Amino acid sequence: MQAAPQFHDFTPRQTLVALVQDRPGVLNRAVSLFRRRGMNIAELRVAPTARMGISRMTWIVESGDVDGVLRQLDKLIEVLDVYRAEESHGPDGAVEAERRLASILPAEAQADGVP
Amino acid sequence: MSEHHERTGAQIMCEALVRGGVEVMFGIPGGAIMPFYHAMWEYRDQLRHVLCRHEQGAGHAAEGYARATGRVGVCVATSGPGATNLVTAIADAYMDSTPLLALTGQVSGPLLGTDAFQEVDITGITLPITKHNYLVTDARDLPYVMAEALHLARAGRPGPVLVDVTKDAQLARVVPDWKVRLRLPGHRERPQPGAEALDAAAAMLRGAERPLVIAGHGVIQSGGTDALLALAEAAELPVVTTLHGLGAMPARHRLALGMPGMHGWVHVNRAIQQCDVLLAVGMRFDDRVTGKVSTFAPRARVIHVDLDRAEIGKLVRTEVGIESDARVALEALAARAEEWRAEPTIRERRARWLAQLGGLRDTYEPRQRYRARPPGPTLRPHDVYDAINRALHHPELAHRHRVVTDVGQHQMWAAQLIDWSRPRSHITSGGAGTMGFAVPAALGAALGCPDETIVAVCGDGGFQMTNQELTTIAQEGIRNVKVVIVNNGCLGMVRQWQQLFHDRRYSHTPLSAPDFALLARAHGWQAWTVERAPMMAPTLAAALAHDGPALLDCRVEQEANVFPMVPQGNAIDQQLLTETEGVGRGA
Repeated sequence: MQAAPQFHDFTPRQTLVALVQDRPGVLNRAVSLFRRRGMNIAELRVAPTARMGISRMTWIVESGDVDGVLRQLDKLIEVLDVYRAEESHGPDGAVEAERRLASILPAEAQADGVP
Repeated sequence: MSEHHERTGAQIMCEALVRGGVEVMFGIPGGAIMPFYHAMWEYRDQLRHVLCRHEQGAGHAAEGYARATGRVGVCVATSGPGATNLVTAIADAYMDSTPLLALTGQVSGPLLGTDAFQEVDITGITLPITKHNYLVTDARDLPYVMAEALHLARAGRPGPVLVDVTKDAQLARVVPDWKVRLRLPGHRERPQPGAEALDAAAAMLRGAERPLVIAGHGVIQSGGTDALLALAEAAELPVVTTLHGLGAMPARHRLALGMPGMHGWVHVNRAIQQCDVLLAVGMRFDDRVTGKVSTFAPRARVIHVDLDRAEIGKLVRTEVGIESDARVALEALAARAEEWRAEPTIRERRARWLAQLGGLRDTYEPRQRYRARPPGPTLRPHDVYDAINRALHHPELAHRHRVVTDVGQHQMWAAQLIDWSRPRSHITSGGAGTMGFAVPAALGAALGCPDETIVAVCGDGGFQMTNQELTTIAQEGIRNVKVVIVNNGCLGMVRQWQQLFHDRRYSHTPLSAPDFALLARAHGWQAWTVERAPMMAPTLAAALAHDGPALLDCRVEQEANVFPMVPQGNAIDQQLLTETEGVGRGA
């Protein structure tokens, strides 16, 4: 008899977006803020933006003190801005977040080539 | 030297330090930092380097210098174990927001990541305990990185910054570009307090029945002690000072209540629990102050002034948050308070509250154990502090002293029993609570304040961790350091907790030690042993009068405990007054 297939447990997740200076070590510093609190990062995307030297990091994390991490992310020297995106559920969370961001920031998104 | 000539990376580092206003650094040379030490020799008239005996000592010395002067403390180490020996001091500076620059040598670029001799990923290791750090592999980056590092160490909320420079970058010859324009778009440095928030805060203070100020390290770091006094007097506000805020108010001022928290006085903690408006300035609601934070200041509407907006609302529900330098906000609030200071209804309300606080002080102070016990021949801890307090408030020393403490019971007694009245006169390891801090930090403070007397108070445990720096002090010809060891033959604070909370199981707290006076003399110091109470004051006087470094080994009774005490997890008004009596239990 086969074991029942395991599906994703759709625990509530939260999405954070950070605009950062594109330099070595930024990602490590930012990730450590989650790690030290024992928070798990479910999904992560990092990519350059249309602005030279500025990248966007999109984090989807399982529950934890997201507000606390948000404040500490903001303090990092290379972080220019950080905010929550709307809550995303399910395995397409990161794609969903990008899609929503594209609609929030049309000028920049068009420059990026995101539809 | 023409600016168009080539310089080595190491020379650029030295030049950058000089341009950045650095005058002193503390360190130990080694393979990967040797080029820097080679270049340092050419700058010895502008940059004084102090050779320490352990890099932890160098780090704490840089901290002591920074805490005493407000300037950036600089420590230097080689790669590998040299760098890792700095980690504790860097973490200490991070917890206490001390402006620190740590310079470390690193293996040459091609060797990075190969487990080379004395290679350690120090930037990786210190990522979470630095305000920022850098790995420099190209000498051309040095003018900018050094300038940015020095700036970040002290701008905004100060903190430790580490710059790790590969050996080949130190050796490389380049033409430095000194036209440096700092680009720090992600760093908030001088947020201006908003007028509406200041008005709201002033209105709350005006209408309060029982207002209270808690002043912390930020008040001292921003140079805001005059502004604090002005506000307190204009608005008739009683002021409580955290461990790092001690000295922000003159101790004997009628509005100065003292220190709150785990070992705060009863009337101070009660004042917090009863106040209806709490103005917190330059403090971060550390758990040593708040006790069980959900029970902290339950009746108060909180105004929080802090330079770091991440602190506002972090732990305590805040009605008015003011992201600002403490001095700027205090001056603005004082100006508003001047407008209504003479209103009779306000003066009446304040008089009632201050009378209530005075009553609390009168009720509980006589029960505070140290002062209640009659003097005797055995040396007790508070005999030591009485003598220190009297000696330091002698006219000759009253404005020319700093006290550096280590960590433990002796640190808490110092905080409680010495009359702190000047900013930067109390230097201690708070957030990290690093044993071994005092002797090297006193070294740093002594160089920062060469015309003042630096008294380092340590326990026998902490002293044994970093006492090798006694030789550093002697080698450098430093004369203005006096060390007082409160020697109870054990790790006192741990022993206290074992007695009160762990069934008196004194697991590994009794501590043997060498004859400290003999040890100090071996380091080239003058030293005395004090075993009886009547000898305390005259021996301290002799040590202070001695023209040179001096040490006192004060052998005190072992079973003394620090009271009051808020057991962990309690509200701050639930305090032990003795081993068997408490107040506020079940309240």
